[in-house]
Amino acid sequence: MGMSKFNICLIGTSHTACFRTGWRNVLADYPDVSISFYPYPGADYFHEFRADPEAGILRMENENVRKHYEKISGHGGEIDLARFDLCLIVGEIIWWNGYDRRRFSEQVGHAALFAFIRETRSYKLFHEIRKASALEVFISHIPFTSSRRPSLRRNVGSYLAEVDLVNEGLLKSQNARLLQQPEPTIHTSGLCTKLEYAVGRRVKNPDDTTSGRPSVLDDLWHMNERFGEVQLREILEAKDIPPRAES
Amino acid sequence: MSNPYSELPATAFWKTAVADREMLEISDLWTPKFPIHKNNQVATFGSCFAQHFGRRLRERHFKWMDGEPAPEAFGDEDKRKFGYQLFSARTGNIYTTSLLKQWVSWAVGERMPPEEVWEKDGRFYDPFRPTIEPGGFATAGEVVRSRDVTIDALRSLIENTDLFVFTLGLTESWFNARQNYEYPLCPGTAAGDFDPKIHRFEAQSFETVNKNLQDAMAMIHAANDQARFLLTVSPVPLTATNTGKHVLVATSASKAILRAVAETAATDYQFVDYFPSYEIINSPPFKGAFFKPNLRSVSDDGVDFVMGSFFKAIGAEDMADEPIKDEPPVKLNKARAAVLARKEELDALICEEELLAAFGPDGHGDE
Repeated sequence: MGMSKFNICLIGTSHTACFRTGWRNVLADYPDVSISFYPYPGADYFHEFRADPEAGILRMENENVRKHYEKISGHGGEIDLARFDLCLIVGEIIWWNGYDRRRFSEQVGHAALFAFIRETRSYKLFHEIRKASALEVFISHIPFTSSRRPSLRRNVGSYLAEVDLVNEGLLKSQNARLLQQPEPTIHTSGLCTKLEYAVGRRVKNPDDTTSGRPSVLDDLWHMNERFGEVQLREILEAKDIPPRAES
Repeated sequence: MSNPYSELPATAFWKTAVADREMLEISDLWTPKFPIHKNNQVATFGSCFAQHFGRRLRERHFKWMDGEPAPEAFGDEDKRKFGYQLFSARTGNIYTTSLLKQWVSWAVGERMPPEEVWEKDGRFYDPFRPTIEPGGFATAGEVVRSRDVTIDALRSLIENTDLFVFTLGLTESWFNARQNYEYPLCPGTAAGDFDPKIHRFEAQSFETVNKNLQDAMAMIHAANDQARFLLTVSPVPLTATNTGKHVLVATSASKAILRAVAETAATDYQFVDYFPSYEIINSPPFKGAFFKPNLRSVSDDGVDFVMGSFFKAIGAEDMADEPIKDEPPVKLNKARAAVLARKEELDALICEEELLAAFGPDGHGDE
């Protein structure tokens, strides 16, 4: 890619995969956008990033993760934040369970939500980034697990209100935003992702060889390229970057 | 010729127990009337100073009872802000014995809590815990619901406690004159509006303070006859007095009454003991050294010395202060642990496969 107008740095877990596959579907519509991927399975490594405030660099200190970056996406472990217009942190936060309204006041519940966010590795990584750069940061939580039977315990409206609350009360003033899971991907009757957005593809379970061969497992935890596409388009729309056909 | 004093220990004499000693070497101020063990369930309530008791018990891994736990995500700052873990339930400060009686009577069902709720600028305040929710509650109903949670927690604590620690703090109080219930703070100070036709001041006498304490303990004992009590008197002087006296004189009168009430209860009942935190901070041999510059707040060194004396007296002085740790994880049987470990491995496998599928074999680099 030549000189890009809008460069995104994406740091994430295995949930980065749907952004990578989804991006292939939409990149033709956004020739002036590039994404640099820094993926690694699990989020335990988030705390091993160190900011270098003077150089404006975010440095991965774990050798294994650096090698993984090199192998999987061709990057080393140094992220020059000045090169980017947006940083996207993906796939560590398993969304909040809410609070017991019989036991806690609304104000305490909201404070608990803020405390929950502050304790996430994503938020701590965001603060590490802040030490080196004022770069805008978007944080995306792990999509709700896909299910045939949506949970009726909580509804989409309360979830969206919680995301708004975090943004208004905690992140907006810090030039950061928590991304809501795209509404079209959520079951209207409960907090789970529609089945058609899950990977669904099966992986081998080496433990189960009852038939002589390893059995296979559904993956309703990771989302597919359609999901990634929807979320990426929402992100670019939020940044007022229109697809080529409209520009 | 012998006399009753000739066989007494050194602690019985001022010269040997106090005058001949360095301040920090004054010791053996208290001999517990009954054993206090680490596995005793301890509930702590009272005025501000009681908060130190609860905190230090937690730090020493005593079974301090948290009857109304905060949301899981809360750190220390949020807990403090919203009044969690200051006392064993979210009652806020219970300054007087009459307030203790009032809370206990609600908890054991002898009286119903009043319906009064204060409103200001669209937010709602609990007259009985006016500072528990900074900025107020969202609705009047939420005030009542939240108070009910605390009352339920207090009831459970009363029924299950081995040791009920109560710090007596004040004798001056404010009542609703029409319905004769008590507020912890004068209406119009932290919240609410003061109305001289409704709100009545009382500087409680020894008799009143004593009767209220005895009534409260009787109610607790009726619900849990195994409960024992440890009384302390807060060494913290009054912030202000409404008696017309100088605040220093009013403080002295108030503390004298509280100390006498505590002594009376500890003398009269085997299941009641008195721990001398008041004396440790306030007695002349300690020269006011444990107060902060405002001569009111107790310094950390003072709290350390008080609680050090307490732990030493109950035989727990060798348990060094440690940071509060989470409860140890539940021990899993081997089979279950193996299943979970395998599940983690599988999850890791799935995550790794997911990334490899997205980024390889042709997916090297950015686009």
